Amino acid sequence: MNDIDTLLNRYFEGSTTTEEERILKKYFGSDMVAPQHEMYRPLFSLFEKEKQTIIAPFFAVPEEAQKRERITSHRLWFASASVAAVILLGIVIFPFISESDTDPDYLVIVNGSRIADPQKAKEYAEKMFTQACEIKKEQVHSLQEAKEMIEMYNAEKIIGEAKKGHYLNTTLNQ
Amino acid sequence: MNALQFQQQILCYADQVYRMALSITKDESRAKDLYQDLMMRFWEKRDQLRMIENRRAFLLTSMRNLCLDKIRKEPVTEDLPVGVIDELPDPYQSVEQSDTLRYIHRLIDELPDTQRIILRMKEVEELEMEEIAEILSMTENAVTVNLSRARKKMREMIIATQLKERKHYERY
Amino acid sequence: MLALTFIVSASAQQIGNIFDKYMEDERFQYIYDGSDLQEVNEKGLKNNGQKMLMLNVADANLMESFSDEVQKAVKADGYENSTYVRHSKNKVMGYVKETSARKDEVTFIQNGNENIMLIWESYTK
Repeated sequence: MNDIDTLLNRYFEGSTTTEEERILKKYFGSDMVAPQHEMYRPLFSLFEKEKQTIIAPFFAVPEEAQKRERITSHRLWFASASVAAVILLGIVIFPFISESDTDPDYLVIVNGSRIADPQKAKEYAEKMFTQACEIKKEQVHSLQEAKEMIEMYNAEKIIGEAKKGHYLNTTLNQ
Repeated sequence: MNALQFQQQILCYADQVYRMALSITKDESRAKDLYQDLMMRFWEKRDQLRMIENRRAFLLTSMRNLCLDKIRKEPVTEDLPVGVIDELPDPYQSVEQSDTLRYIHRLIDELPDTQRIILRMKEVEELEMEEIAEILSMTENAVTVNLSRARKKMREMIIATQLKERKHYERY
Repeated sequence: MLALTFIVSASAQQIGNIFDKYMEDERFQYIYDGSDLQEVNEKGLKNNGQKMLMLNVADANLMESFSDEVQKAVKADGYENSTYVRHSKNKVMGYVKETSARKDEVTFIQNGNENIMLIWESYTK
């Protein structure tokens, strides 16, 4: 029991390591608590109980934005009437599906050489556009909205204002 | 970040965030409101949360700031006569299934706010001293001092209660 | 060369020319993504494809001349500068051009003195 006494003393001094605290918790959770230590048992078991029993209320994650309509290009490609109409409007010509290409939707040219493998081209393109999207979002949104967030959750500012209201002075000085 | 990722990356800290609110406000319905409020804000700003490295610390700091902000605006009256305090609803009721736990819990409630909050962060949430210091905007040293004071106070109160009871029984 | 064309109306000519000019240039990378063509996004716009040009060569002169070309082109094509974000050496400039029939977005991203990304997204209404 000497060990436990030593550990307990260190515990109340606030100088126990995480490992030592683990030992104490285990001890107080066991059946072998010595009579002279019995009075401390509720202290240790209370914290354990709180961790197990107090859980957050249910948060209902809001529904996300409507998924966009998927109109496949194939359907439109074969609907020649609509293709003709679009061409007449002079807006865009649909990709020409040549026989050798299983996936004609991507064209990637790196330093003058075209990536022939359609799958590689697709992967590369997707990666690059995702990256660009990230950069755009991060730079534009993050700068504007991070500023907002930092303002909202500025611990220093809120505590500073609270101090002015004298609320915290009493508690922090104890 | 979609709903599933939010669930996995943010809501995994839900219990800790809620317990933080409860620990600070000592009021179950208030803590629940603040929790819902904060989670909604996190959801709305979920894309910015991706950028933050230590999410747990950020979430807990945000909860703490929100609580303090609300308390500052709507202070809970502290100077109630003793009898009235006993009648207030107990947010930790589910925890105190025995008299002994209830009495320990009352002792903890008598600790000063900062000591009590730090004690819970260390013992219940098992946060490192460094993280506690970051979340509460204190130095690690200040956290250590508060923690040891809290624990010592608990020991004092437990021993005092023991002595009182022994004296009580010794009469008979 | 593949017979892939992305022909646009005259009003977006200059930007299109830049892409055509540099797509096979050894100093650039060019990507065309037409995979979501005609898909309607959450804003109700139909995707008309995206193009990207990237310059990774540490050639200060080329970077400067390319930037100038882009500036001239967006101006000539009638784009409006919608966003300008600068964060130390990084720059993100967004341009938009909207008519009753279509919407085009051009984004110019410069990362220090090392990389430039030019992106063009085209939509019909």
